[in-house]
Amino acid sequence: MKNFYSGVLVPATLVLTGAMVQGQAIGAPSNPTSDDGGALAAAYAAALTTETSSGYSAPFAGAAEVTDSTLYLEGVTVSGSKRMTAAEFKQLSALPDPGAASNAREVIIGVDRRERVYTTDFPSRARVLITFTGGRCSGNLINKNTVVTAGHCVHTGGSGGAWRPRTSYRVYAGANGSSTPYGYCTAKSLHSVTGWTSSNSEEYDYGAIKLNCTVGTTVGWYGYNTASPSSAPAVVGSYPGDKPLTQWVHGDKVRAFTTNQIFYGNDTTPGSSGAGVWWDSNGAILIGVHAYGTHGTGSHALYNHGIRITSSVASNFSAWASLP
Amino acid sequence: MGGGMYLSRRSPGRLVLALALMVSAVPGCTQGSPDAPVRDRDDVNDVQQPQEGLTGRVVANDGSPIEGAMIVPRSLQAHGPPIPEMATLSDADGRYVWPLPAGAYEVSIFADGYHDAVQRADVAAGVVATLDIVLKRSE
Repeated sequence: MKNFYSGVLVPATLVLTGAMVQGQAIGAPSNPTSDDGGALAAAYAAALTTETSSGYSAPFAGAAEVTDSTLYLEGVTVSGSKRMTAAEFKQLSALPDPGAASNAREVIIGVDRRERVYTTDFPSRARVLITFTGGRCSGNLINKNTVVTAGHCVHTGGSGGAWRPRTSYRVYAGANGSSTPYGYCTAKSLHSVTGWTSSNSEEYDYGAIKLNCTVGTTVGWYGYNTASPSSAPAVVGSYPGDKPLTQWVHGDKVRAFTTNQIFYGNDTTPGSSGAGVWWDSNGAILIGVHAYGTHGTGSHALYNHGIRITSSVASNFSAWASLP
Repeated sequence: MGGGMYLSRRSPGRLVLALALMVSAVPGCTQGSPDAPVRDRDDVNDVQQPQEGLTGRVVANDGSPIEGAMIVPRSLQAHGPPIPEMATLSDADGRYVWPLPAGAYEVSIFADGYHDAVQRADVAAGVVATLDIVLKRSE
C-alpha cells in the first residue's frame, strides 16, 4: 500500500506523536487484523498487498459465504436485517418501482437507462447506501472499514459549513429496498479536504467515512486508479432518490475531463452523490466520485460529473484507509 | 500530496514535524493545498446551520409533519451554480435544511403518499430563506 507519509522517512516516535495528537493510532494498512475472521485473513492480506504502484489500489471480492454470525463479528448491526435470495429479489424487482410515480429529475440525460441491481454479488454489494439526519447519499467501500463518498455527504461545504451529524449515520452495504443483506454500520469519523470544507469547491468535493465495523471483509471493496480517464468506460452504481433505497447502475464512458474532474453521460439523480465512477476491465476500479448533475456552462452543462481520482485524491484515500 | 499535508517533505526537524501534525489535527484549518485532509471532531456532533440557503417545514394539509420528503432545488439561472446531488430529506418534525448559493430556484417536493409540489424560492446573499411546504395526500 502507498504509505500515509509518502516518500518520507519518519521515525516511529514521531508517527506515534502524530497518532496521539489526532487521538487515533495510525497502523500499517497492509497488516491484516485479527477481528476479520481467520478464514478470510489470507485473502484479505493478499488483496492488501496487490497494490502495484502509486495511485493504484486493488479491489477485493470479499467472502464467498456470508453469515449473520460473520457480520456480527465484524461489528455490523444485523438485527432486523432481511436477507434475500436471488429468487426473492427477482420477485421483488418485478414489482412496480417505488419511485416510478415520481417525476424524473433533471439529470437523466436523454432516456432513463438505469438498471436495477441484485446486491448480493460483488461488486454491487461493496456499494453503500448512506443515511444521516437530513439526507441520503451513495458511496463505495475501499477497504474493510472505509467508505469514500462526496464531500457534501459528510460536510455542508465552505468555511461557514459544518460536519453533518456523525452519530446519525447509517451505512448499508448492498441495501436493496426493504432488505439490508449486510446489516448496517455506524460512523467512527468523517473526513474531507479543505478544498471542500473551506473553499466549497466542486473540484474537491470528496470525502470518506470511517466505519465502526469491518463489513468490507465480507462484501469486498473497490480499488482505485489514477490512470488517465480519457474515453474510459464508466459505470455509476448508486442509490438514486427517485428510486428509494434500491441500487441502480448505468454504463457510459468518460466524455471529458479536467485536472480534477471527470464528466460522463451516466444517468444520476439526487441521492446518487458519492457513488463511485468505476470501470471493471481489471476488477472494480474507481476512477472518480460522482457529485453533480448538469449546471453552468461547457462540459458542466452537458454531462453529469464528479471528482477525478488524482494522485492527491488517491493519497488521501490511502491515508483514510490506513486509519483504524 | 494529500499525505504530505500531514508531513511536509521540507520539514527539517522533529519540532517542525510535530507542529505540522498538531496543525493537521485542527479540523477545518486551511493548510495551503485544497487537497489537505481534514476530519470532524469527536467532541462535537455538528448541527447543520448554513449561512446561506433554504430551510423550512414540510407538512400535510392537516398540519402534521411529513418525514422523509425529498426536496429538490433546480436553479432558474441560465448558467446556474452547482447543486450537490444528495437527497435532502425532511426530518421527523418535517424540517429540512438546504445549503445553497444565492439565486432563484424551482423547488420540487416529493413524498410517498402525497402529491408532488413545485414552488419557487429566492435565496438572497448571506440569508437563509424559509420555504414551508404543504402537501396534499394522494389517496
